Amino acid sequence: MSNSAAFAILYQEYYPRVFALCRLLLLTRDGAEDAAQETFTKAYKNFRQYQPERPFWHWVASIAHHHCIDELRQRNRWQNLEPDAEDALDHLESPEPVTLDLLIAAQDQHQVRKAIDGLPEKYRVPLVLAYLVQLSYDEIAALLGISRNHVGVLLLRAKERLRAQLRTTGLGDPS
Amino acid sequence: MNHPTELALMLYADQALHDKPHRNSPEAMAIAQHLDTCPACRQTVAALSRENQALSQALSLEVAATPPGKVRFRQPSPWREATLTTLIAAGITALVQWGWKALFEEAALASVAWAASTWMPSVYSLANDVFLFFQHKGADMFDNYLALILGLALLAPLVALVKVRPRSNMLPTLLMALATGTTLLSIAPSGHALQVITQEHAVVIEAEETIDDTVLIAARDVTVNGKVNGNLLIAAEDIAVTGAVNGNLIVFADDIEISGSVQGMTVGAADSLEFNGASLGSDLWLAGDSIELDEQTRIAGNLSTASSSLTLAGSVAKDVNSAADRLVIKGHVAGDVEAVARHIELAETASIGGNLQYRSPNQEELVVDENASVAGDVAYKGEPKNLRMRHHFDFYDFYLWKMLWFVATFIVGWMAITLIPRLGDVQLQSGVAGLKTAGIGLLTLVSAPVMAIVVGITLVGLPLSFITIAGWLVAWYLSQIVLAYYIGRSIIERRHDQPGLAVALLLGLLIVTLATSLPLLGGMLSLLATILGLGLMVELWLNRNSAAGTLP
Repeated sequence: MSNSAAFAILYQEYYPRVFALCRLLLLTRDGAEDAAQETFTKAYKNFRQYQPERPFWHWVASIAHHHCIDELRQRNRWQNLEPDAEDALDHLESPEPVTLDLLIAAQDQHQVRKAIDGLPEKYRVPLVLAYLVQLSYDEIAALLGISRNHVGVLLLRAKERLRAQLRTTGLGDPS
Repeated sequence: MNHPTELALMLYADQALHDKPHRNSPEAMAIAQHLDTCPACRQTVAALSRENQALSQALSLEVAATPPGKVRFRQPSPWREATLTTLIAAGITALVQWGWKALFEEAALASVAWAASTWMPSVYSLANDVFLFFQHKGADMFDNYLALILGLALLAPLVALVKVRPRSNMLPTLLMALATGTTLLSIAPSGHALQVITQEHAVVIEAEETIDDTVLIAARDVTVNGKVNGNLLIAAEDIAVTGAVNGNLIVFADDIEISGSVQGMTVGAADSLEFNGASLGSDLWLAGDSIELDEQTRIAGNLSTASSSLTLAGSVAKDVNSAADRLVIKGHVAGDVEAVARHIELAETASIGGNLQYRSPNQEELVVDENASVAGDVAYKGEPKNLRMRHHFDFYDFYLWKMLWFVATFIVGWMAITLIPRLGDVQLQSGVAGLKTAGIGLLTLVSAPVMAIVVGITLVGLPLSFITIAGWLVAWYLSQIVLAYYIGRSIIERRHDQPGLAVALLLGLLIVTLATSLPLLGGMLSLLATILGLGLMVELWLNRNSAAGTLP
């Protein structure tokens, strides 16, 4: 099978995942479609560099999230990630009595997605990178140009906001 | 007991302290030791781990909820991008050029002229004079300004393009587009804008007047004594052209008299068409009740007519094709004459350099004066009705044209799908969805020209009307190609994963061509193929914001 044919099969298989990742990072459908297409274009051009022992998803997801973060930066939408008052460590509260896993379990997929989409970019992007792409704190820190601890703070804040959002939704909608 | 911060516990729960550089750090060891002795913090770490797992699952579910893509991978093609960008830039440039000319020279001028004719206050007369001055005397000056404005107008979309689609290979593309745009600007047509003249009564272009634009005139009576250096289109009750037209002449009226000169093609339809001493530089296409060309009239091209009576006393440099009730030839035809007529007469002064072929109720309907001459053969081809009885399958021309159409359509289709690959992504659904596609296609086929006419009634809407009609014609042509490619692709995809564009298109076109050429059913199938193709393209356009039209 030629490289081109093999790539076409990989494309069929992984396009939805790449598209979903890009959508979670960029939020817009148009942007995600372009980004997914661009990701596969880059992957195709560099297909010879791909090492088959590495999962294809890891490789292509790495291209996708790099591209999306570049895209966010180019659109000047990338917020200042320097720690601010809200992110200060001494403002961190103790863990919530109702944990996020219980709140997620109590909601349907649509509400969880809406809550994640509603997060500010500076919280949503590390969250997606950490829990979907499964990047380590050090990798996220290097990618976003911040410290490892700051990644942790952003993730904690993201979870706090998610909790608050899901709790509100859960109270408003008993289902 | 001092508990670690939630951040530290979070890092621990996320295994951020388990990686190589941090594994044996004092922080990691301190937390590990604390957890051995603190059940509360162990609980917190366990809760955080559950949260992380729940988040991972939620995000994975989001990915899993995205349906598998049916879109095909498009290999990157810098040429495609370069060509598309260049076409866009060229289109924008041409549109801006034309729009500027039309808006400034037509809309503004016409508004002032209308205002002047309505109220006649001195300020409007003055403004009218100023505009006339600028139009006639200051054209060069405005062209210079125009070039500057157009340059800026061209740069704006290109900058927007860079912003919207930042790609590594866009630089050569943009340079190419910029070069094309600049070339277009430098050959800006200064003398071929469109002038529209609409008046209720009479329009006269005086003998000393010269118009360097294409002119469209709608009025009751139109007399053109002057010179038009572009095309001239007239719709009126009475038309007289005694001046010179250096482009094409298209005229519709009750009575038309032409005694001037036309360098391009002449197309006319009227009750009565008279040519007196006219000099026609190219082909002449006429339809009407009575057509007369006097002995001074010279036609450098072919003459084609459909009328009740045709009297040809002038000379024709090429062939004559005529359908008439009564055909009288008194002049000279250098080429062949083909006629379908009830009665044909070659008068004393008639001479034909080629053959004469005619159809009439009987052979005796041809009356040839003894002094008339036919250099070639005279052939009677039978009754006119026989022509209608024969099926187009009987003529080899039919097969020749079909073959030419096939080759041309294949080339156009290949280029179109290469340049716009999404055209090849259409999916024809079965059942109600398929009917909906056909309905959309039919609606587009019928409504687009109606809308174009409605929009074109206003002067400002005229460019939009032309664009709509042009787009509609292009879509019409492409409709069967799109459907053919879909059919070819669907057939081949049953056996292969990735059918080649050329093979799929060739197969599809072959099927469509054969189907639409079938006797009796061909016309119906052709209409069906057209509306389905149009419907697919419109749906593709409507779904352009979804992921290749396949994702919800």
